[in-house]
Amino acid sequence: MRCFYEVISFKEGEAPDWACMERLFSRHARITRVTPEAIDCMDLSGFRSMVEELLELGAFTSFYEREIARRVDRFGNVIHVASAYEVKIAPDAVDYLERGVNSLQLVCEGEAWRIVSLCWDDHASLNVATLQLLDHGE
Amino acid sequence: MARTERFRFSHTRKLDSAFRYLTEAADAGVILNRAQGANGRCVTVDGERLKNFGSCSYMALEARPELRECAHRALDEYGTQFHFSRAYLQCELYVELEALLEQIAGRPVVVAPSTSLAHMAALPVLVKDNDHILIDQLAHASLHTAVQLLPNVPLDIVRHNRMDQLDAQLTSLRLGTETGRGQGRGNVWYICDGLYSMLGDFARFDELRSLLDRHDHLRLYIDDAHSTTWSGARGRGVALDHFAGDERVVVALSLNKAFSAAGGALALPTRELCTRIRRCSGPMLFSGPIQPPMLGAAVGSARLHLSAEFPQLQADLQTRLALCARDIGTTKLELSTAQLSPIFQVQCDSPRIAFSVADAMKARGFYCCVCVFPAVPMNRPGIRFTVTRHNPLEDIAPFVSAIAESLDQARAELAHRDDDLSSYETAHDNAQSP
Repeated sequence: MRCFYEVISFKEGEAPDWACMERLFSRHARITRVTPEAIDCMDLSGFRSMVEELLELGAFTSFYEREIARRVDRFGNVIHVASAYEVKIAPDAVDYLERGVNSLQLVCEGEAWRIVSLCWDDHASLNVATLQLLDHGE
Repeated sequence: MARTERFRFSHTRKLDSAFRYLTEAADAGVILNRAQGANGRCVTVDGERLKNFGSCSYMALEARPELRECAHRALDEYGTQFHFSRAYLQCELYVELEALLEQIAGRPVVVAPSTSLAHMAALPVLVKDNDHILIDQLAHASLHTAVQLLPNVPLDIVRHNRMDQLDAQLTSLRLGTETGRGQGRGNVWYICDGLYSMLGDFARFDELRSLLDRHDHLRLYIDDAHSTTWSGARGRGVALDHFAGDERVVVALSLNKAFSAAGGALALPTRELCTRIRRCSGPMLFSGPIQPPMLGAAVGSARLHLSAEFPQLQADLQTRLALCARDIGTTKLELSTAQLSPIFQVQCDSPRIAFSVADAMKARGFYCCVCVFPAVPMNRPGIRFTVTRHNPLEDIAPFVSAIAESLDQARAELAHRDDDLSSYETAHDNAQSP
């Protein structure tokens, strides 16, 4: 998960680490982003296209997202991770831009665990109660 | 070849998203406010009289007698409007204004009803079928709108002020042409602002000069609306100070903002281009003309630009800018750029903090603006304030102190809020794989 948050974060003028992201995700992976305006259903290539468009449009010029809490449930070779996150302008910022929960499913593809599904709501509220719920997990 | 289909967000979706963010700011009471009375040292906002650090009247010319008398004279002579398309008949004040602006710019000038319409008039005439457009991602929205009038011209967006990326793309497009993979022998138009209106940073003029020297297919179109009047020789702006003699550069100026009249102007390298834009572009043929009183004001402003007094007016503003920069240097405020212009952006950690600071500044008797997405990138929220000749020197230090204190207070309050989740920072560190 540390690697997941590292590859989607990037410094001013840079971009996500797409090569590393390809190693983290299964080639069958689906990525679903829920916003107030629409639901985006993408594969990794579509996700990259969306991020690159956001970069070109100047929606972001850098990006920092970190994990706040996590709940992991394993069912054989399937793992579900509920990972609470926050987006900030910089690691030392006192306030956040967005908070939410990344819902990930991973499968063991022989030599490694890979993400087959990533889903999040861009505008979900996140509070202490939600985090306590996550922390009571495994 | 048509432009690459890279945008997957629909027009309506982008509009809906912009509406949501603007509604959040409006609900917070920091935009779409109502002013009562004139703009000057103070501005009255929703009934509160506040010291004004938000105006784009950088040179405070709107109340000068030279402009008001010319506006009154034009009103008396022509009434409120001169009811002809310029394609048929133009008010003679246009002729006088363009002649004065040519003296200011040092090159031929065409006046347009606004700077946005100037872009929409010029770009379809300047850019040819086999050309290529590169536009800075943070170029003014009016430029991004204007290039949409050229749907068959390839377009790429360049990250903000990244001259290395621009250089690489210029090289790539030249190589593509030489190897037959390009679009023919067209030019590459780089479109940018001279002074960016939100972050207050300038285009990289020296590097652009170097790129012009190395890439003969490069053309520049620069929107210098926010540099007009307060900078450059005779107030022609910083872009024309760098490129007035270069035939490959077109500069758009504003007759609003610091110029304090109405309309926009295109400073063009040749008279032939002026003629072509006058005869071929929709906004020049079909749009309504600038109203005579404002044409009169523009003539009065242009004359003032050419007067012996004008350099001292520019120097007066520079004194205020230097004082403000010095005062900011004594605080912990972080600016988006160290470059000196009348536009300052103080960076905030979030829109919430920016809204809180703007509110606190009102309570302390100052007006300044928030700048949040979509006006700036999501990761660059802040307070945008301006320093103008309306601001007396004695108002600047108290304003800077107030903004530093308001920001400290807003950060402290958010650091101790009820929903602080920082205690969860280490909760995941001991979690098992993955």
